[in-house]
Amino acid sequence: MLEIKNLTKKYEKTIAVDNVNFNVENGEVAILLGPNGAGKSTTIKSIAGLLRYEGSITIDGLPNKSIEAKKIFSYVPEAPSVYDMLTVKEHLEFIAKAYKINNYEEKAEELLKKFDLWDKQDKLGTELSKGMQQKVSVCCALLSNPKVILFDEPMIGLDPKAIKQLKNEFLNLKSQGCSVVISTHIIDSIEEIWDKALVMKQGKIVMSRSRADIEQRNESLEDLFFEVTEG
Amino acid sequence: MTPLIYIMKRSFVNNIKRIIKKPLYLIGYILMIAVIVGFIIISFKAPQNNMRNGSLQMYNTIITGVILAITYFQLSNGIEKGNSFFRQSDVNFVFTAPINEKKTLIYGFIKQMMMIFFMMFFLIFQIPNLKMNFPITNVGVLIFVIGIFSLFFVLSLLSVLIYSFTSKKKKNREIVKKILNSIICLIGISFLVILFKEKDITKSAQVLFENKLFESIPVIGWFKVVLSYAVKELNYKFYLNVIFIILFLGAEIIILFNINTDYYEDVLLSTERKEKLIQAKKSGTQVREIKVNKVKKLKNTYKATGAKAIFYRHILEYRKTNFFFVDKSSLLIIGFGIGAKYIFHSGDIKSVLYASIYLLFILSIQGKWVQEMEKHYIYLIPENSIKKVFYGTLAEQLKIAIDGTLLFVVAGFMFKQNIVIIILSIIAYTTFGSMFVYADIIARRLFGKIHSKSIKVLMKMLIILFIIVPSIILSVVAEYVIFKNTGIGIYLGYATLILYNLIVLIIFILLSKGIFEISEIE
Repeated sequence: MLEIKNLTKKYEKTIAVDNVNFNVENGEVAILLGPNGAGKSTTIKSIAGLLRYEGSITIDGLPNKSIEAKKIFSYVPEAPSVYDMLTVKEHLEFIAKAYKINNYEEKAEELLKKFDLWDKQDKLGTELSKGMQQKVSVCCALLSNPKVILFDEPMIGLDPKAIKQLKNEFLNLKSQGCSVVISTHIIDSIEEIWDKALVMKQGKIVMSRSRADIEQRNESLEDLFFEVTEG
Repeated sequence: MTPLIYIMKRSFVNNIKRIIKKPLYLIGYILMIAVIVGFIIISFKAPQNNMRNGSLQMYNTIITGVILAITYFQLSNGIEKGNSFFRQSDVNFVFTAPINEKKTLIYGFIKQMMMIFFMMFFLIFQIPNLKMNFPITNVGVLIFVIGIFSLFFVLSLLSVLIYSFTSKKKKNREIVKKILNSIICLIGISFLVILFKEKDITKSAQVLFENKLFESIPVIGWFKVVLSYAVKELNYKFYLNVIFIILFLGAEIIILFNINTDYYEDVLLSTERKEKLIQAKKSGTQVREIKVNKVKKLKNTYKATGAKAIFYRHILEYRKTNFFFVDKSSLLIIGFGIGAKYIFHSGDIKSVLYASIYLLFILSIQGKWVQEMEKHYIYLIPENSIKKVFYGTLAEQLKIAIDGTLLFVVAGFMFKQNIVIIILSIIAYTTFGSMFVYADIIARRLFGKIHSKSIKVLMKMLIILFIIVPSIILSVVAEYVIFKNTGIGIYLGYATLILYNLIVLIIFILLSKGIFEISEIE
């Protein structure tokens, strides 16, 4: 479970994230929506422990920057980030060793096959296209069987097959009880997946709805999004 | 041409607006302009030096060396990657717009000239210095500045042309590259032969570059002759070579303009590369270009888990491109060790140590640790900060130790030093290297909150300066004041320096605790 309380992130005088509060339960997929510059990536990076912030972020009750929390969460950055000099296979091997994951080989093979990287496992990071680098990033994040996983604009650069595969993975993670946070500004791409939608604008959460809420009120997420972001 | 003029005009106006809006930028620019104008005035007003007889020869040597280096790097780059006068925005908007390619090319030329023009500002700072040492007249200053400007322009067009003609076939590119490298090797070997005879680096360079053969090489020879007239009376030879340059430039433009009109593809890759370099510079990083075919295929070697896996990954990366830790920078350091004998005529191995600290600082700016901090993985690995810092920097520190060993074994041999001094020099060099690596961590801890990248870099440099200076002062005081008459002053000087460095290092290691809790990815 992911719990965020009073999260604020300032860059000198600019407030990028302003007193944000939300929870993501086990087995729940939360989507962070918002226009460009709304503070989605900053929120995700703060949760991943990559930025300094004010407030509290806990993962299964543990502070997000603690070693115990790091063992159980993963992060897929917006810009694919791979090591130029490592092959695809070596990336997974590195993550397995760094996270002390035993008997990872079978899972690594499964992921590489799912994301069409099996025949490219000996290619260097520098040789991969952006889309392929993104797939490597996703595979690395999934390898540790996380309890909480953060995706920052994960669909960008992926081919249709990989997008489909990634959507399946979101559902798999959900069924395994993982808390999933996906930041995106393309509502269509996650339409059938989400359980909770959080819309950000100017660093604040301006709307929070569960799927049940929206279905009950017969609302459309897209219409609500434009209503709150363009108002 | 109107839309292209519009781009240039608006870019210029918007840039001025941006400067005016930010007072700090404005002050910076005003200061820069004042300094440049000041230097230009000094350049013309400064008295020329007619006193030194030998300086004329020295001037010619420096000029020939500079022309050779610029030509080699520009052409070598041109063969490998081409050259581009454009930005990615030009590719996206101008190349695809219904604008004549020839007009686009003129636009490119103007942009390139502007870029070289800005580069020339750095040259202006050198003129008063040159005038102090060489008999350069005011006309000479103009010849010098316009000459270097033209050299860059001629070479940038030439590299586009060479790339256009060689990029079609890999074989052509290899042949041209081999020819260029053979010429440079030949010059290098000739230099070494003369050096062994003369035993003096400057004299050997003078003997080599005075050779009339250089004047007969197209481009290099023409510019050598033209620039040599900055320090003497003009005659027909000067005008003849100026005509050669103008004709050559004209030929380049005609070929680019009429024959090689389909140049968009040729500049595409180099524009992307240029854009990456600009973006990297803006974010304070470096673009690392990897020659994939030269990367060795190795079997996995991850023997460790947790933070140690970072160290093993670094080793794996080193092994893929280098002979373990020995790479091009190691060769540069060995070269420095050999050259030290000739550079520091009356110096000793300590001069090599002090000078190598500067070299070490430059190399540490883009070391493994700094690269590691650019990616998110190290932040996320579930281990404590001290372990991650230790293993994240270990490979780089081992490399520094190995490079230091190579440097001081060679320098020790050249300066005929005893084994103890060599070992002490290696340890001192390694501790300095470690301090530089850890200085980055301290800079992140102390100044991580500062948003401006350039201020962060400046602060890191100040930290380094702040830790180096006492180290050197203490060792000098120990050697020449406290233990002067002990007979072992030099050893105790080294011991003081090493002890100080180790104490600073321990403090730095302790301060690295919790660094990932307070650091931000950039």
